[in-house]
Amino acid sequence: MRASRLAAVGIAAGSMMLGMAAPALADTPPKAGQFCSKDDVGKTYTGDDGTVLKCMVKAGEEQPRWVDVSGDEPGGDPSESPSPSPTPTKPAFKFGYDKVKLSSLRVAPGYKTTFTVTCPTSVVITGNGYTQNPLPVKKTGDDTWTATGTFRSKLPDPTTATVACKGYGSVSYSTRPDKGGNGGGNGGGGTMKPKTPKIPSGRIDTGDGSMYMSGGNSSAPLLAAGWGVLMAAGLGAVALRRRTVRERS
Amino acid sequence: MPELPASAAGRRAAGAAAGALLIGLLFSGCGGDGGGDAAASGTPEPAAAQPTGATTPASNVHPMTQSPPTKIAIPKIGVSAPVGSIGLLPDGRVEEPPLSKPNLAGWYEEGVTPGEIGPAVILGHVDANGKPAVFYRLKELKPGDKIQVGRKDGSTATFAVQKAQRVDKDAFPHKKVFGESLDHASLRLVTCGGAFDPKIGHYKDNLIVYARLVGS
Repeated sequence: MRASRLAAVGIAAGSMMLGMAAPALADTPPKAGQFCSKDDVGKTYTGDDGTVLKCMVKAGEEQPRWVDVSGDEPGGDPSESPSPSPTPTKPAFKFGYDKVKLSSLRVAPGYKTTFTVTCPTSVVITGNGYTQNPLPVKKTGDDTWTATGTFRSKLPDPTTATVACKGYGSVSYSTRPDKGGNGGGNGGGGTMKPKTPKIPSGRIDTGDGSMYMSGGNSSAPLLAAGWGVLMAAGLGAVALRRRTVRERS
Repeated sequence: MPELPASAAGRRAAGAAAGALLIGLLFSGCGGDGGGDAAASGTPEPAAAQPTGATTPASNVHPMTQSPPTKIAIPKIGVSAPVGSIGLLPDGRVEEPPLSKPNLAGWYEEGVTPGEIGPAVILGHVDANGKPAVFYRLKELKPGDKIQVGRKDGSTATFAVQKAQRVDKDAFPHKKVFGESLDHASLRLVTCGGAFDPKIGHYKDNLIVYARLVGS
């Protein structure tokens, strides 16, 4: 009796140990390049260091592998987004004009525009010519969102609209895409066109150095102090060394 | 005093020299504005090392409509200044505010207005005509510090600093600063930093402060 009880306890303990070990083995984090199961194709894994691996079949291979897709993250500075990062289930998604469809590009008082947006997270649509801002957005599919805006009777010039996909960036439209945001008046209207920012080049010189040269920003005093300390310490070390040598002799 | 073994004394001397050298290096490294990253010069550390969620709860902040900026206030560093518009020069460079108006900041009008979704950029001098200019103390900003931008429509866009970056002028990230695709409203303040090169009459670096809309 006692023997059978002991055996039962032993079996139970063994089972527990195996039960604990199994998940540990199963939880071994995958590494880029390692083979993965065909059942896992399409699945992603985010490591502690933020590395995103995706199980996929590479061209010319039959067995799927874990592939590092961290570099495929959408634009934008991740450090600037304190909100949770976008779901890593579709790391290859890139937001752009091809993900936004406008029912009409016409901008005129009373006209309506329906936006149909493909975005895996959430969508915000703002504009300076609609009766509502931001526009109320409805989810109509897995990754599909729609919103309809009605233009006001008085339209700003330029009239603009921006569609943002959370975590993936934004696209902008303007009736005057070649013009900056400094428009005014009420000469709006016309056609919405994609607006890409004009990016300058070259050096940006914002200062004449006058404070730096006068010492306000200069490192000269601190450098001098530092070198003074260095020299004093160096001399002290030499003196100590000489005394040691003298004592030894 | 007990006699020290020669090796111990030698080690002590070497240690003293090494310590002195370290002190000297520290002084020379911190003293200037030249070289090194922003953290080394006392400017804010990159936000990558700083969780910003506590200070930038922007998820419930609605982006604003288009309206040009008229003034900027940064209480932490005593900035209260008018904001004008600057554009592109024929050679593709960005226009700079005139040195004759050291307290005038310049908003890059080819980009979005502060508060709109996207990166709005404001430039300011660090010094001019022997006096501190509008962004002289920009390097003192830390993550979470507030920046208020008054707009033509009477509204105020409030931003929180996220990070600062000091870059060599020849490696300025124009695309990131002026044209990054964002899902939120961002503000970038740009001025000069680093060491001054008297040969060319300009600073060697630029200081960029990145901030995010937190209130409107």
